[in-house]
Amino acid sequence: MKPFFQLIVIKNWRTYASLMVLFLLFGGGMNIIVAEQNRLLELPIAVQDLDNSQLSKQFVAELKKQPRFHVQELVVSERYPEDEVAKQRAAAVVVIPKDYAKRLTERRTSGLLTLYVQHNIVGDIVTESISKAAYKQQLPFIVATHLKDKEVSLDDVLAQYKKVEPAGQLTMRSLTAASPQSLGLAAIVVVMLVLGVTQVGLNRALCQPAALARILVYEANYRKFYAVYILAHSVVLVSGALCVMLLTGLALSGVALLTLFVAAILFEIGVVLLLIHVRTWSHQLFMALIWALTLAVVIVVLQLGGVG
Amino acid sequence: MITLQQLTKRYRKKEVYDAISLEIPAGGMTLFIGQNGIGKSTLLKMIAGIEQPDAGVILYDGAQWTASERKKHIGYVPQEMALWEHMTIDENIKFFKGLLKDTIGDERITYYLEKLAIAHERQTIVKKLSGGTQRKVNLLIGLLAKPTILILDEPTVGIDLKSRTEIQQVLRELSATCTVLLTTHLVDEIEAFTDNIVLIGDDAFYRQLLEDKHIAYTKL
Repeated sequence: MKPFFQLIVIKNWRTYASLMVLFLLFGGGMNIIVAEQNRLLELPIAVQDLDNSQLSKQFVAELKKQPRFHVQELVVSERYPEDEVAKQRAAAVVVIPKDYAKRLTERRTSGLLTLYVQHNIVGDIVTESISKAAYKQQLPFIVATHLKDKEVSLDDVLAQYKKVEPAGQLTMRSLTAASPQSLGLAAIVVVMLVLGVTQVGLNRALCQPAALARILVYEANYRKFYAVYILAHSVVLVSGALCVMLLTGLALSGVALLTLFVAAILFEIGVVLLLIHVRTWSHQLFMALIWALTLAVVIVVLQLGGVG
Repeated sequence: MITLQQLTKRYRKKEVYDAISLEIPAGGMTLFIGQNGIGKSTLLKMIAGIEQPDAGVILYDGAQWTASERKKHIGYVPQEMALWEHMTIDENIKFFKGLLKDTIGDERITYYLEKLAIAHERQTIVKKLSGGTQRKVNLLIGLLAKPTILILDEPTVGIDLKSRTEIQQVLRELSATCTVLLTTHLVDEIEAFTDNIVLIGDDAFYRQLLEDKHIAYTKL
């Protein structure tokens, strides 16, 4: 095995490095696209804080905590904050008045915040979230007003509120575990196989018919050559595919790893046979591509749960 | 001694050999000459066990060898440069040596490298070597297995006189301890190795050439 390891792995390291670079470039590109897509899904909210008090800052911080809100603070000198909505630079503009903290403390909250919002479904969603944040801040002050007669101070209410703040009734769960049948995994397998076709071009040094034929003077067959080639290239393809999965945020799992390995080994069996038994480079490339696409179709169909 | 008995070989409808018989003496040099396409390479490949005859047997010292015996005793140097072009001479030696169980030692390799005047190019990759040097390396790889029968298919074709002479000297030296079989088209090679010449085919040119130079030959 040692001479084959030397020939196929050590002397051929550039092939593996090139394949890994290809995978990293693809994964990096996908990472940028995914990040851009996520950014497009964020809701731009503009806030003008004229009060600049602790309570107003607390409210802005609460807004920033809202999922999918991208909060941009406007300067106090901005005379027409509503233009942010009119010019569609923001889904909503919240103006916090100069006496915000004072009125909140005094429970004079009617018409306290000014909200400019788009009249569409996005505007409705944004309004709901901003109301929720505002109400959350007002709640202790409302309670304190009702407990005034019982000589409970606002500070006590705030302290207690911090302790017993009611939890939401909805339980949020993010899916991190991948299903054995997932389109994401199928897509990664397809990418792995298609990028793997480039090895036909990268492995020209191994396609030397006379030198290959001479191996048979000493060996009964190409079994050892096949074994080292298939294993080495499968490991590189699977490693590359795992890098793409990590860069694109797809969940890893044992099933995913097994699927990738099975696909890579099947693909490499075809490629090594082509490299040894087909002499013309263009024929090798065409047949490797067809083989990759055939395997890809089979795997996508299996991932979709079969043809039935 | 190598004995060919009633050997027949066909490629589809073309009959290359029809029940031929020949005895090749042990040791020394045997040259096979004849026109292109007459079947010289095919005959050598059959003796080397790379191709199988359609009928007949080949005996080595009176016995039929198994594939592993042939691999152990026969060194075959093909006409093509059967070397890894992207690797150095040393790396090629290391690779092919790694495929063998019993090989010549490093001292013997160094001796052949010096004898063939390529010791200074050990670390050069094959594709950067001249055609003559590549032929020498091609020959050296064939010697790694310590063969008792060395088969060479036109080992000196297309190279300069100096390189040819160096290869011929090594072959002459080898013929003292092993049976060397080779094909050639070169007149100087025919004149240099007159131990045992086998003429394949009916081409009058080769027959006339041998007779004009008073070289004894066996007709196949």
